Amino acid sequence: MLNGIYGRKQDVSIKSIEQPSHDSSDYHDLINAMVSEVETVVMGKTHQVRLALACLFANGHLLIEDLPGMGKTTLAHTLAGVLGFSFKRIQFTSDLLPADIIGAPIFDGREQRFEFQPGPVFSQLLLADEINRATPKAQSALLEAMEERQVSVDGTTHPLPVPFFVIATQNPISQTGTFPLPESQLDRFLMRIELGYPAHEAERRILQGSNPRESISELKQILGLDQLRLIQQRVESILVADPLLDYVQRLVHFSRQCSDFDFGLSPRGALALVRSARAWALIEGRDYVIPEDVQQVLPCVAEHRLRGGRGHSGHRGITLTRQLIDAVDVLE
Amino acid sequence: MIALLQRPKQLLNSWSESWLERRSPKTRSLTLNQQRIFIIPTRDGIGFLLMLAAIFVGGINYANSLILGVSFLLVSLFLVSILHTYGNLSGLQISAGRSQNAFVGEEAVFTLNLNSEGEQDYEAIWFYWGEGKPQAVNLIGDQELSVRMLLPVNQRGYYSPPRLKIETRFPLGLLRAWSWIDLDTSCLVYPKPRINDYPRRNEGAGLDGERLLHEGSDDFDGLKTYVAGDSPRNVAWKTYARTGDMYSKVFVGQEDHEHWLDWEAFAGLAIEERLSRLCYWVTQLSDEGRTFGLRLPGVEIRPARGELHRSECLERLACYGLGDLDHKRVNVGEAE
Amino acid sequence: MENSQPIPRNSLVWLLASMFAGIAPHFSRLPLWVIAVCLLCGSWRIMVYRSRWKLPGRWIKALLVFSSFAAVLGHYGTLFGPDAGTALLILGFCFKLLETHNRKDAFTVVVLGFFVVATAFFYTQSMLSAGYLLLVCFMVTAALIGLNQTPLQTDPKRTARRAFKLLLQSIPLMLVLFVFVPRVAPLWSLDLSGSRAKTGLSDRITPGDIAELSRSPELAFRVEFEGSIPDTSKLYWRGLVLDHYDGATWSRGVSNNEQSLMDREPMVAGFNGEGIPWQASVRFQGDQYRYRVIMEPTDKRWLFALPAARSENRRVGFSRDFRLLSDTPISQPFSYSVSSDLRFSLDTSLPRWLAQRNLQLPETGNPRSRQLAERLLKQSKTASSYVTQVLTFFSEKTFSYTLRPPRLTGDRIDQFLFETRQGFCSHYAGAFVYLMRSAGIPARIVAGYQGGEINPLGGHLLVHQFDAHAWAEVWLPGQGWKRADPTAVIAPSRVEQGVEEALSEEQSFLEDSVLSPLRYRSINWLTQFRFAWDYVNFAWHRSVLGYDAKLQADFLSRLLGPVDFKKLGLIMVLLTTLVLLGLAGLLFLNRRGHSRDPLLQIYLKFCKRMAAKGIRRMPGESAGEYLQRLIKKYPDKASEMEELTDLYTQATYSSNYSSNGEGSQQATLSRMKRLLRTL
Repeated sequence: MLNGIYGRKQDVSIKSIEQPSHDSSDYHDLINAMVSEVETVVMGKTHQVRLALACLFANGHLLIEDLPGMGKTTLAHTLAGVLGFSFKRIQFTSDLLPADIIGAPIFDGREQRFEFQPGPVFSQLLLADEINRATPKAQSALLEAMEERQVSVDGTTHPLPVPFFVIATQNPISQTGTFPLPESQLDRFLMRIELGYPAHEAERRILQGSNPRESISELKQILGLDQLRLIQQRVESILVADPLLDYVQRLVHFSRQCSDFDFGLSPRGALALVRSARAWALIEGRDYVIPEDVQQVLPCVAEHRLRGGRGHSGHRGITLTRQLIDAVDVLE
Repeated sequence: MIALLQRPKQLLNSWSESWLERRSPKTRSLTLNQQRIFIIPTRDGIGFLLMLAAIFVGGINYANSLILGVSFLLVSLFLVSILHTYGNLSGLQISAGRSQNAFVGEEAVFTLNLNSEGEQDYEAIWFYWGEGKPQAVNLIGDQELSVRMLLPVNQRGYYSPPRLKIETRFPLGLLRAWSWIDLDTSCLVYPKPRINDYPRRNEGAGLDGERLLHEGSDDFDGLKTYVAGDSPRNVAWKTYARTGDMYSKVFVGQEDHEHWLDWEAFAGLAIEERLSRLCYWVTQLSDEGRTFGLRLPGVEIRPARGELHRSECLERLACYGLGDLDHKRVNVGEAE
Repeated sequence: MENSQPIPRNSLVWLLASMFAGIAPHFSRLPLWVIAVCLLCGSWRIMVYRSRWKLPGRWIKALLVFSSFAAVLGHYGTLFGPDAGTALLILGFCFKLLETHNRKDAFTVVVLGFFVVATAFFYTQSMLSAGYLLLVCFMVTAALIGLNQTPLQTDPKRTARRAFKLLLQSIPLMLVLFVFVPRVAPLWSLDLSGSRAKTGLSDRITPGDIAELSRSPELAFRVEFEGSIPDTSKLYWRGLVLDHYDGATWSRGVSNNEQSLMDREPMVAGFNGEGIPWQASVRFQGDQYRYRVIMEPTDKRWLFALPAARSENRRVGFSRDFRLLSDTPISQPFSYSVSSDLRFSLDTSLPRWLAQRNLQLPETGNPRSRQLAERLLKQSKTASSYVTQVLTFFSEKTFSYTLRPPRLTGDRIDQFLFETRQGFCSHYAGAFVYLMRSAGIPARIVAGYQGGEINPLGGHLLVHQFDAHAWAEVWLPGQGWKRADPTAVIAPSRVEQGVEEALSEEQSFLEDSVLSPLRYRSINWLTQFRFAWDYVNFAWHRSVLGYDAKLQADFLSRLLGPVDFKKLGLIMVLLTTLVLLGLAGLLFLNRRGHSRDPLLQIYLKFCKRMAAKGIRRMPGESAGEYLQRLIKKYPDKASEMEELTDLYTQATYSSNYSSNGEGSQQATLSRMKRLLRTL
């Protein structure tokens, strides 16, 4: 490596010290510690765990889509444990009312006045289990809260705690009486990840290991709230150079033009992509984004925002985002 | 005898066809370059050459340098315009954009995306595509443009448009540069909807199904006396504040009766007739926002509603009996 | 793109504009009714354009066409030839405009427009009009471009820009063709009618009428000498010989009884290199000058040259009185090369018929002059001493040189010699020849130009109309024809320094041409400007208008050595291809105008090199992934490839272009280049 490059790197770190923060490599250690701590419970899912952390660092909400029993809930629990967050869980059902999520005013007989009783949404980490089982009304109550980070009931606005992080899960195989999230609401999730079956080695360890519930209770908290806030600030200051923005724009442009896609990525989608790529770069211990970061986060950021055109995708066994990555030149 | 005469012509046609295929295979997107662009003078161009030949002879005969100069200027203009006409196509990037499905007898919409490689402007570029109306396009200043071409479709099923011809005579009209492109794009052509009354033979599968109520969270239905264990959030606190009595709010959800559109309902009609009628009902019920299912021989789509459901039903109708089902959508799951 | 499509309005604007501009130069020559018809058609079309009127019906059009054919036939007496042809063309151009409905019609109008431009050069060839007609060409081209634009495109300025670009790019190629396309002889002979009046020498001189000629500042011809230029006093440009006097007017007229003599010997010969029967009567005796004369059109056949002249130009002939003549009237600028020996002897023995012609005088009149001749003849022994006596008479008496002589009537020679004694060259020449002939010495008036002005820029000589002069030639036994210029005796400055000097007291030089820059020769910068302008014109005439087969052969052989058609054709094709290739490069290379990032360029070079070795980077493959694949294949080069990839990635993505330090980028670049060399 050349001096010139080191020199530039120093510039960046000087800037970051001004905003009370450490070198990116410090975060790197911290993040690695978190990942290995999570992995004591959720085994063999390093990539997904890192993605989930990236989502958190980028201050976005996470949607986990997978079959029942794949460890969605465990992952959410573990993350909450490692971060030391206040954690609540809502099991979505078809008779869930919006009030069950955001809370409702309750009449106090002694004081003779209404008092707002906050719902489970007032927590730092909210696990919305099987979100697609609830009616659209209940879904949108949650999603509005996610978007605005506040709740309005009877004309009073109640801000949600900071940080506020939603992990929602949904089953890919739907049964009668489910309500798939419309595209507009899927957009509220920064990332959608799939856990998938564990690898052979990991599965063996799961089988050998103890009950994950017990392991969760033994988790060490690694990141404090202040540290998380710093990390989130740090993500904002990760450098995105012009050539990288060119690449992102090429990706977005291609998704909009190509007939493989029914519709392309929205500007919000593009923004989400850049934000996630920044967080990923931080996790990788870099203070600038490179195309690999974009490619790593693209499937979970874009897949749920795209819809394939007729007859072109799927049957070849290639996902839409893979197609996108393969088709767009990184360098141009 | 006639057959003998026709044969060479057929051979020539099939040869040029296969030559074109080899030269420009089916593609999603391409940039026009010297391998694909053909260029010859137009009739106007030949007239122009004759004119300048006349001027040249005049210049020679009257030994007039300036008249000769005019003829040289015009020759040069002609030669330079070869470059300009060629340049008005070369570097133009064309890719197949989205297509919109259509019903038989309508026009399908195909989108062409045009991109210019550099700062180059393209002017008066004509697109000839199948039976569609030719369209002229200018690509000036902005570096990309979408052209919507309307192509009439007459047969249900998947429709791939024929080769696209891109032609230009700009700037002087003395030369014609063109290129054939076989774009890899297609659309689905649904059967022509035929308005009809749905036969009411199959009891219980009528279309005017009553609405069934069940417990849900959609609509407020009324109040019931509070029983311990009811969610405090469902308690009608305002009533309690007024009267002191505890009531719980009751919500109900609504669901349509599941209608079935059935192939057998039109027994006795020809296949296309049946498809046309079913097609009408699919569009009709979808427009009304009703829930319905579709039964075709060997295919059953469970009742659902929404845009994706509609397009899946229409796709089944379009491809019925055509063996085109490997084109099945991936995201059928989402529709259900 | 159908031909039946309506004309884009954008094109129509240019079409109308080019029509007016194209016809305008013809206005001064065309009969008034043609102009009226043009204006009618044009305004009709404009009214249609503004949707006020409708296009004329079929019968009106038929009537218009038929009647204008008839009118042209009536006016010119023919339908062919440049004049009638141009008139027809212009009428057709206008009529076509009236029945222009669709693209096809409009294209016809465009073609006619180019024709109209070309025909204008029959009548005017000056640099300014060439520039103007180029402008018309530009407008016609714009109309043609407009025809091929879509109706969406309505900006006439855009069309104009395109037309300008096209024409500009055509010009280099045009120059190549102009220089190299072989100039062949006319395929068939054509005559331009010479009905147009031109100023210049007249073939009749009537001393005593008002002076006119000396006052015109127009250019008569330019002369380009190959070597030095002779003294001004030797520059006698012979043009005409006037040998017939009727008591008032000197002319070339031939009386009936002389006609028979003339038939015996041809008066003009030598065209196309054929022999000259009276060749023996010319003896060239050295002091040779070679030069090229570039003449303005005169519509006369006579040419100008210093005595004794000969020319190898095939279109130039030689007359019995030793002048050069053109085979056809000079209706366009014409250039010919001449060689002249200033020492010569002509007609040392004079044929009887020729002597008779040059002794002709009216039977009676001018008695005092005849007495004078007799008296002087008695005092002289030989013919040459008689000439000296006569010239002495002119110098001793009170003759003066003026452009405002009194009018003469009756016995004009007597009146001039003994009463008024004021006059200019033709007075003196006329009186002199009269005195010669009265004494039985053959003599004649020569009209032409004397002197000239040297343009220091081009080193060539300018001869203006005011340099016109008349002098005499006398035949002396044993010596042949000798020049005698009585004006030189009276006003030596006329011959040595020009008319202006000769008239300096009188102030009558160019007094009618107030605006002529020649009148203000004392103003230095104006003279400079005049010379510069003349030089440009001279170059235009010599190199462009006069670029004929001979000049082409000279020029090309000087450029390329000996040339033949085959070589010429080859060079032409080669140059044309070169110019087109250059243009294509200009048009198409320019297109990939992205100034690519130098870092990326080096990295792409690296990719290319690796691809040549068999591992090609996929479009969606990032530098890092590609590196992994490469390392797997070439582990021995791993460190170099890694460093290069790292350098590229970091330099590209870890800083913005704007904040890039020049120096560090240079260092990175050179390091990358070095690494690339090791791979």
